[in-house]
Amino acid sequence: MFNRYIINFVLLFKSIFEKFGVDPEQLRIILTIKMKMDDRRPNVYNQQRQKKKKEVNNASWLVMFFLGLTGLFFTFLLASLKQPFLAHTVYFSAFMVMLAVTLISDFTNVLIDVRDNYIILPRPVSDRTFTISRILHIGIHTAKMAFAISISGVIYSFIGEGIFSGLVFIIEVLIATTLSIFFVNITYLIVLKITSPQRFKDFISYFQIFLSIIIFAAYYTLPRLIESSILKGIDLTQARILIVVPSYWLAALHELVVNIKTTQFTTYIYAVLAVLSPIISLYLVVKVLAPGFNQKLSSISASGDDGVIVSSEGKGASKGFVNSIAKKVAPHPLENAGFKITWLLSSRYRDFKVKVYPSFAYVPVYFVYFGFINKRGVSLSENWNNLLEGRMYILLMYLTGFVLTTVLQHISMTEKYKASWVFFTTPHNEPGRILAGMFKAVVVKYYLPYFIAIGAFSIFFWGPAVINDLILVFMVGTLYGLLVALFQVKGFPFSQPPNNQKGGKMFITFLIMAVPAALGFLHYWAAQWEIAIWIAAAIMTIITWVSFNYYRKESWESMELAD
Amino acid sequence: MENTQQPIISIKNLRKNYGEKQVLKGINLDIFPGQVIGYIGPNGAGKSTTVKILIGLISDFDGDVFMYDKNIKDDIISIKSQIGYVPETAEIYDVLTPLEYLDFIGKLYGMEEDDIATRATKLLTAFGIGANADQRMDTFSKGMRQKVLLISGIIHNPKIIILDEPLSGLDANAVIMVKELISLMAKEGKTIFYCSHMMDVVEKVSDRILLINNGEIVADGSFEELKAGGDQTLEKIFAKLTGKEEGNRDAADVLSALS
Repeated sequence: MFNRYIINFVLLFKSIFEKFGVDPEQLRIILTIKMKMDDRRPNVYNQQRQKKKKEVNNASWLVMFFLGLTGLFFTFLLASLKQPFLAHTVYFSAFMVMLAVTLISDFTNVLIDVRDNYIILPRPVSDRTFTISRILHIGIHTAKMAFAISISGVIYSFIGEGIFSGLVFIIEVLIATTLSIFFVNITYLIVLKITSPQRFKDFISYFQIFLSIIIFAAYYTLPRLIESSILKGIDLTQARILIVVPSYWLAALHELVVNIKTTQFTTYIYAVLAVLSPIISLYLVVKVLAPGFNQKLSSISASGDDGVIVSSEGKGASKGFVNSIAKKVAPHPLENAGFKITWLLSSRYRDFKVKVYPSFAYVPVYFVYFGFINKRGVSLSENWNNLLEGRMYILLMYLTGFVLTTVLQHISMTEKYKASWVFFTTPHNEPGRILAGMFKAVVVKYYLPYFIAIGAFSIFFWGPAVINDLILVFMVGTLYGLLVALFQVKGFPFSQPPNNQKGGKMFITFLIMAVPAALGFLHYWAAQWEIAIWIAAAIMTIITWVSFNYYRKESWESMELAD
Repeated sequence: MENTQQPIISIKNLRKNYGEKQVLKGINLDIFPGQVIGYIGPNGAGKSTTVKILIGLISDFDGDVFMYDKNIKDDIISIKSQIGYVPETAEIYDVLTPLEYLDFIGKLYGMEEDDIATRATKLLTAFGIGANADQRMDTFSKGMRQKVLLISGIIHNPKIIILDEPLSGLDANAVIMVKELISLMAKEGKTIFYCSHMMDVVEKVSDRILLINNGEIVADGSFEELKAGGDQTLEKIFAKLTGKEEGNRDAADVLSALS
């Protein structure tokens, strides 16, 4: 319902639109329907309702709510950093990153909708009207997001620092928003110029992966960093490198306006930059970038049809690296089928990669968090030496199990799940074999290499004595993986729609997690006695092998064809 | 046509409910080897449900279905190995190449890797897409995907083949080829279930036509037998039996809505 007010507000500028050859009534119609569709779109926050097949009607409000929460976190940062420039620079950097991230994902699917080419353009709507409707849609969408993120910051500025400060803050938000749109736009265009549309989608996915990692790392390290010795010493007016960061300009603007008497000359310059930059970027966006932009973007979305042909050059299905591994590790035909399909599809489905790859980076982050950040008042090198003498490597090795379970949790889900009908029309009576092949593929492709890498790291720093620990941890990790697969992975590989997790099994999740946790503590405690570790490793290997065989025998009763 | 053979498929009093709604209200059928059955009916009549029950996708139903004298509820696995199913423009894992996909399907049918590779290559070439055997299917046209689907339904040389709109998306040459293929397979003794809305194709291809409406079989016979009722085309027979003879009136309604 709010949509109507927003659109009415936009249409106050009717006369300007008409002067540019845009039909305001058509504009209203298009915007109304686009915003209605936005409200009904399923997103990561309303999966619950989606599952129950209820209608979703307020998707954008939900998103705004969560963005608002994030904004609250940012405001907290703003309030707790006492140095003048630092607070605003950090806040607006976070703001612009958050906004850009949300925009980038939305741009490709939501804001540039290929279906418009078939639905709107064949009707009597002029190109101008259509382009402006696009721009306005993007603008309204972005404004909603920006509003949600910044509202707590605005309130804080008004209350905490006075009306004047609050007003300036609002202006800073506007500038930051414009710049974010500009950056997203520019990024798109540059990347498009360099690569093909198909590669572009890959780029976006990798970018999303990269960003999840950064956000994850920041979430864990920032609160500590703020308090730690590192950050207190920073006086940003001296930092040369920040000159090119726009949030620095914004901070300068704020500083200038609020503390007008005490500012340095350089601050004036940056403040001016802050005011000019949105104007320049707006001009660039509208005149230079927007025209070619839409065409380029529609070519991305449509590139599924006439994109690059990817060929495996005569390898068929029987030659090549993957096939030789498959033959050795999973010779039984059903296991072989499960192994290969898991391996191939996990390499090629973008949505899978985006969900799974960040977990590889989470492990080092956790390690740093547990190993370093918790220690106060200790310098970095002292900390590192302490670690080397201790048994932290055990923690590092157990953390790798995280990768295994993340992959397992996603391995049965994909957007193209309907293709799994073949699992149910073919005459095989041992679905457990297919699952076993799937499990083997996951272990060989993801867990093993990563574990070897971490293992090499451990041996390098902690010496060969850790080898028996490595074996033990690997077995425990695999066992944990098997438990997760048995109880939490429902169905064949890539056979369920995404977001189909059965939430009610939280209890089982914790119960399962208790196993490696308990074993881990035991291990940590027993690590002093090398013999004990060797024995434990042997026992664990046997237990894991037995469990795997049990898993392999899984029957049809737990298999269901997803509608 | 007299048949002293045993029926290859025998359906007795098949009923299926989805909640309150009774989708199949007692189907009784005997199908003999080598027959090409045209299975037609309006949307929602129960065609897909019957088919899904035959191939084992739905196991919860009332009544009995026998294949090769075995009740499918007892031994669905060996039955699945004798049936080939080609659904209508179904989903496939299109990030794979045809050879990879067929290797996967073949293994699920228990075939040997080398046999699959040889047969798949020959079949792909016969269907005219041999050159694309190693290309990922996400750039394939609808017709190319349909061909891969067709191959995946027959690669294990089944005796019973169920086809659901198999000609969808195929160009004229492929259509001719598939029609010829169906008649050759029938001559070899294979039984073919052909579901379609294309009345003219069904007329020409089937030995025997089954018309299902509202969960019941309302017509069963060769095209000649059905024509004895006075109508010249299958379209007209269909319209009469499904109570939609006033197709002309509906069309007139559309036109009047526009003025």
